[in-house]
Amino acid sequence: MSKWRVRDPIHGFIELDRREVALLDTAPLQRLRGIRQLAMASLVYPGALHTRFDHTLGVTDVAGRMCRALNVEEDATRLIRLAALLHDVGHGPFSHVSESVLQAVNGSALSGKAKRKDKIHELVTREIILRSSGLSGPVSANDREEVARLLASGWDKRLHRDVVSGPLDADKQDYLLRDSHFCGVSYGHFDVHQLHASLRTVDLSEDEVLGLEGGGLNSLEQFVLAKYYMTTQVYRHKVRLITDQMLTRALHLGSEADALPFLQRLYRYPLGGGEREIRDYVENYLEWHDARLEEEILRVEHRDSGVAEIFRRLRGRRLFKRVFETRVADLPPNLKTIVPNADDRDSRREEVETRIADLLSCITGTAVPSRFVVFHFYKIESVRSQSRNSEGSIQIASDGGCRNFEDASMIFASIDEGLKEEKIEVYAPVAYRDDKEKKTLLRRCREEIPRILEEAFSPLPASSPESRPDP
Amino acid sequence: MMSRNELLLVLDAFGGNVQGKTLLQKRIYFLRLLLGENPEEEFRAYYYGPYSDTVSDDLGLLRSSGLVDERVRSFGGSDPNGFERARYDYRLTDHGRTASEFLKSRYPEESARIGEAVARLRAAGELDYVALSIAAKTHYILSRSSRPLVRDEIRKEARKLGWEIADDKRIDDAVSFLQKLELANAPV
Repeated sequence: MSKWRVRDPIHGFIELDRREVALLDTAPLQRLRGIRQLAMASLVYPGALHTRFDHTLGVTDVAGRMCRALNVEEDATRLIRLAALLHDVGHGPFSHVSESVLQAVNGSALSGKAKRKDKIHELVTREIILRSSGLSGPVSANDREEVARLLASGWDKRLHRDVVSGPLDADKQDYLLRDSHFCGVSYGHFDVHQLHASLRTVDLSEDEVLGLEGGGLNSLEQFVLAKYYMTTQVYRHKVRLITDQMLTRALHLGSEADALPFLQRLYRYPLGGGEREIRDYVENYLEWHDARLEEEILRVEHRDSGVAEIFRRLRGRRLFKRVFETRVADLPPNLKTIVPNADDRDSRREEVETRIADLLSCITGTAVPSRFVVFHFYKIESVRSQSRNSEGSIQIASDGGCRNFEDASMIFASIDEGLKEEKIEVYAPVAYRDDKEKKTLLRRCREEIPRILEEAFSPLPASSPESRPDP
Repeated sequence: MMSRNELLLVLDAFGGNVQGKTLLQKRIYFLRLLLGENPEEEFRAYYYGPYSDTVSDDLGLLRSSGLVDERVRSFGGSDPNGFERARYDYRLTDHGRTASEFLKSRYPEESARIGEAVARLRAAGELDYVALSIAAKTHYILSRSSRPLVRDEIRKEARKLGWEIADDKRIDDAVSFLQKLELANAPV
């Protein structure tokens, strides 16, 4: 079959066959050129303008190379590469920000495990793969079913799913290298060639899974550390967190409080809807990308909306400031058991943000709208846990059997599993005239916000008439 | 309730102390069953039996929050997997005790259920980590089988998962323990 070659700054030449090129030329895939991989991280790292499109090409290439290294049969390789090409087709504008908004807007209608952040996004991706008219030409209905199944739960062999969704999958390998390159940092570098040269299948609990020869251990250690450092230094960079939270708040305001119809249509998934409603949702969803959304929000008729105010700020890089931060570990004992619970935070968010807004207004002498105050909680997982996912650890072949990576590696075996972090930060639209003003504000916030949190999160006695029921 | 808060209450129900990661993991495995949950959603086959990354993560979070202390006791030498022989003991800190009292007042029904499940587990026998680990492995294997299994079959299935259960008496004791908890009906 004819091969096309595309130049890529990370992987050199990426080869594609005719069917893959035909798929790339469809509207749903071309749309990914308009969705930035790291949303507005370019406000921190000016080079971070790469898109879901080039990332998709990279993942396809890496997946193909992994299949070759693992001697995966030809037909499975073809489908795995298709899955790689389609794995991000469900991303909304500003990538993971849209996931958060989808979850926030639809979350109360979900229950149990479906409430996990990525579940609604997975639903959307699946529906696009199965129903989008734009994909029906180059990909048969049967192939679409197989790809959707692989991405959701896998086929018979776990090995195949490990290539596209696992602790060492093609997605992670590409985005670490790509994000590192375009952000201009070195944290995401690892020896991908040695890693691939060491790949092998391993028998585990009567299944074939992805593993590594012992000789690849150091390259795997590099990979896991790359993931950890990119998380702490880039993905959780203070200003990047602020831009992401501004975007999330903006889009949530836009679809809820501002009730802008185009945002409601984009972010309200028709849960329980029929075939026609879901198809309409998918076709509308695929019309949107970063620039179109930003332009629509900034149209003059929306100028008084909260979402437009925040987008104007983002465009002018007038970002919110972090006015408070603390570790959950430094909170009083009772709050340590409540604050990390998402339901508890959601039920108290409005009160906390309103009271902090009042405090900031008092300190600055300027009205600070509570809808622009963001109370944000996040976790940084331990470096050990970066090497596994819910299905287990990466397996290292040894002495006729296999061992979990974190036990086979001398470095990781000695790392304390308990070293993980949970943090609370507050962002708000404040401006400082000088350093003295900044220090005063931050000091007052350090003194007052813990009291606000304690009062908001500590329940009143059951006999009190004002006591709230448990969420 | 968040799983880490459940873990805090479990530690409290065991008097605030548990000696050994393996013992803690296996106790949680059985408590999930006694609370009517399916541990297969959380536990996977690991070196010393069914293992939960969630329990491990939650323990780490409780430690980093200052609610639980970890103390390591080294016994010298290495085990067959090459690990240093050491035991990790977990203890509620003062803050941990305050937090667990708070949780009991906030979630009285759930706390009571956890307390009852712990009492049932203890009444079935205060097994050490080896015996409890074998009991958990045996349950894990039996629960995946569509028919009753005899000792040799249990041993064979265990080997497929990387476990060695050499002793007939250990298997018999494990099954007896499971029967006391009404988790096994079929005689071996």
